[in-house]
Amino acid sequence: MDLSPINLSLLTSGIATLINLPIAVLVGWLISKLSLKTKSIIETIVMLPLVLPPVVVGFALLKFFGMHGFGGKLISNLFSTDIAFTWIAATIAAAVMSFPLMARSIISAMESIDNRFEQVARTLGAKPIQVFFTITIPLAKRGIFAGIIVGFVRALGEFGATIIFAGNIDGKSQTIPLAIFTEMQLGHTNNAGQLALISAAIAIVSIFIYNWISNPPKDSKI
Amino acid sequence: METKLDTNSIKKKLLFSPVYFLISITIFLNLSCSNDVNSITVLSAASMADVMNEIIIEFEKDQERNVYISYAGSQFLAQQLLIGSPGDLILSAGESPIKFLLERDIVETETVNLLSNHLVLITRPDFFKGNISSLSLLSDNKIKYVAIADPRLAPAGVYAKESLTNLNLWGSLSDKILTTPDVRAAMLAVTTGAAQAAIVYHTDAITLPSIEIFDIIPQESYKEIKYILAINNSSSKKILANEFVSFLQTKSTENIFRKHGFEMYK
Repeated sequence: MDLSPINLSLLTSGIATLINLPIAVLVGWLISKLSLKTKSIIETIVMLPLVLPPVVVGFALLKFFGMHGFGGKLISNLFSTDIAFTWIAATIAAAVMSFPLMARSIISAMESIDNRFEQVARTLGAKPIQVFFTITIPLAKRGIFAGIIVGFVRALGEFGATIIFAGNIDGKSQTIPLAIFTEMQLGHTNNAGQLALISAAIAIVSIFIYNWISNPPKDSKI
Repeated sequence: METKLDTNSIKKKLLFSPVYFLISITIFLNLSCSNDVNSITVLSAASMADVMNEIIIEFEKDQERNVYISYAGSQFLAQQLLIGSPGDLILSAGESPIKFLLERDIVETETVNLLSNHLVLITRPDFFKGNISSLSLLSDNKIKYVAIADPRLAPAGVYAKESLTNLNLWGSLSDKILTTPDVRAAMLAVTTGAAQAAIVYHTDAITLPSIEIFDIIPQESYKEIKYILAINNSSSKKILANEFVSFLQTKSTENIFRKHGFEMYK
């Protein structure tokens, strides 16, 4: 069996999750500190990829990073290469599409933190950055972990934006969902079934971890 | 003492941001390596994947050159080229995606008609017991449903509808027509028993061992089914793309196409 779609999926989703994490934490923190009005504006922008059809997001990405797009021309001049139709495009598509889910979880965790803890830390002389790393992050830890997992799983399942922006090239941009699609088209139902089982296994493990983080056993430290 | 410890742990955590920075740098360094001169990207109709995968192995064998093929529906591929995907060559099943691209000046005007295909009727083995010679048998009460690909979604459906209309059968069969998203799903309808017969491409029909094929649909009753090659106007690798186009027309490649049920276009 060809392993490359699995490796590619884990690679693109993994990097997408790593790129998203600091941005999502920052956005979550920002939103928890803002006034209700500004907050809703930023939240709308952040949630956009979640409500738009993935195909539209893929279209926009290909338009921007394609041969005739602004981003595509810029990268082509700087690095003399194209990123559309590569694994990098698959990573970007996965990152954009999975960001809202990760951010959602982190935002609610940050918002549920009692502001008084941070205020007390400040009155005791902690700098804002110290408060952020020693009070805010530890208190939001569970939501951040949960966000990492939902984001990662969403990235693994990404199809619509990926096939438009990254194409469907075996070994280069063909992730698990795209491989399943291709095998189905060719009538190779066994191969499609095997890949489907693998995605199901990854999903089940992830849901298990997610539930464990959301409702940890009483003696756990998380 | 307490504050000092805290600052240390913050410093440790801040170390992560260089890690992220490094990751992004690596991504872009990787970029510059991925651009090899001896490679082309081909956008190909998804139904061609089996045969094309076999052919590129032959093409890459004797020389240092790579063909990356991205598979999707032909009309979808045309849209991708229009938006600006870096495909050097497109292999379309059917003429309309190429017309669409020519009208917008996206591909070179010299296109190549590479292959042709034809429609067949399929049933489950021994359904008709013996030979049948005409599509009018579809009116038989034994047949409750005839599956075809949805004409709005797939060219195969357009051809099937066109043929039935020209044979004056579309009207009388309209209650029996079961439309499916694509040809493969129409075949699946027959193998699962949802439909008793289906009209599909010859090349798709021969991939299923468990069905009977009747080559009885007159080819004059529908428009020629063509597979067309066109080179992207903005391609920077037209020489290699042209080499691949020539390779697709050689005798040895022809044998691979024939093995998969395609006919060379005359």
